[in-house]
This record gives sequence, C-alpha cells and structure tokens, in this order.
Amino acid sequence: MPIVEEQVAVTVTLPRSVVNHIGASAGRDNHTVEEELRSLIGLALALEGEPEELAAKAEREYAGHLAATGNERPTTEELWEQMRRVREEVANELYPE
Amino acid sequence: MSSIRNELVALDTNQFVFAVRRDPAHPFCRKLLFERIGELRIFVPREVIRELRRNLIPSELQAALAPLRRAVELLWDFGGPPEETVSHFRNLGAKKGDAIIAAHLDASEIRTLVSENRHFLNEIPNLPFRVISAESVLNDLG
Repeated sequence: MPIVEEQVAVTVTLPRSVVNHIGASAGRDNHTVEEELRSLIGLALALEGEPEELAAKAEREYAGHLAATGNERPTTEELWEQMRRVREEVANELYPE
Repeated sequence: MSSIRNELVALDTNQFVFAVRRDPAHPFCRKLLFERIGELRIFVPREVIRELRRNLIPSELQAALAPLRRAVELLWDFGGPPEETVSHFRNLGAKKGDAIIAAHLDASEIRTLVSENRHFLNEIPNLPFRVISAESVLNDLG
C-alpha cells in the first residue's frame, strides 16, 4: 500500500525558459505547473537505482498493497481490461471532446 | 546486425505492466525489459507514461522505468501528436486511445511498436508502423 509521507514545501529558482517549457507541457496535459514538476522529478528519480532491486521492492510493496486492500492478484484478462480502460481515460483527458 | 537495434522502438504500456507484475502469460516482457533493453533504442510517448502512473503503484512505476537507463538511446517525448493526425486514425476506425498512440508514433516517425496486443489497430490497413511482441524482439536480437 502506498505510504502517505509528510509533504515539504520547497522553493526553487529556474530560468524563465525552463519554467515556460514546463508550463507549456503542463498545459498540454491539463496539469498545474506544480503537478508537472512533481511528475518530472519522479521520472528522474525513477532512473536511479538498480532495476532488479527496485523490482524486488516493488513486488513486496504490491503484495502488501493487495493484502492491505483485500484484493486478489488480477488475472491477465483483468490486467488487459484495466489497461484498456485507463487508455481511454487518459485519451479523454488529453483530448477532451 | 539485427535491424531492430538500429531504430527507435516504442514500448507499449502492456510491456511495462506485464514485466513488473511478472505476468505468467507474458514472460518475454520481463526478459526484454530487465535483460535485453540495453541493446535497444527506446522511445517513450507521454501517453504511456500517464497510463503507467494509473496502472501501477509508485514503487512499481519506478521499477518499470529504471531499466530504461540501460538503453542505448532513450527518448522521452512529452509532446503530443497533431490533432489532425489523431483524427486521421479515428476516422479509420481506431478507438480514441489507440488513435492517439498511433498518431504519436506516426508523427515521430517511429516504425516499431512493441506490444502484446495482437489486435492493436489490426483493422486498419497500411499502418505506418509494425506491431511486434516482446518474444519477436528477443528472437530478432538473437
């Protein structure tokens, strides 16, 4: 189960061009600039660490998540169904009718 | 040298999900992402990143993306395809989500999508990219 950590406010100074770029990217995705920055930092952090260790940790945490929520491990077909649903949700967010 | 090593290839969302979840029906996804990704040039469209955030818990997302730094080349594309290209694929009968992915790959001149979805846009003739499975990529890599 994801852990809700304490949140800390941080102020950073960035070049105007970088902020403009982030703002444009956030606008395309209907994000706030803060959400976009969180996302970018998260992606950068995801590229740190040994993949096999991270995979093992993820498996432990996912097992814990299932136990905490009382859910069974989804079947392959259930994963397909979830991925199909998410694809259309994201599409509707990116390109609202 | 295998041609797949020489081009940017896109990985569909299902490659990451099946790899991280060790899906028993799709064992080659795990092998490709964790053992052979270092032989490929990878393109990741923003739609896939957003979908992964929804399909995986945070530690799984980190585990899914971490192997990518081993790729020969890694291109994150946070832009989006032109709406007219999306419309083109929708008019051909694609679902909205699939149309956006197809448009993004087409606009970025990506010619290979690695996906376990054998039916991905198979109703559309003359797709500008091929759709191949992780197993096919592994066979191509030798």
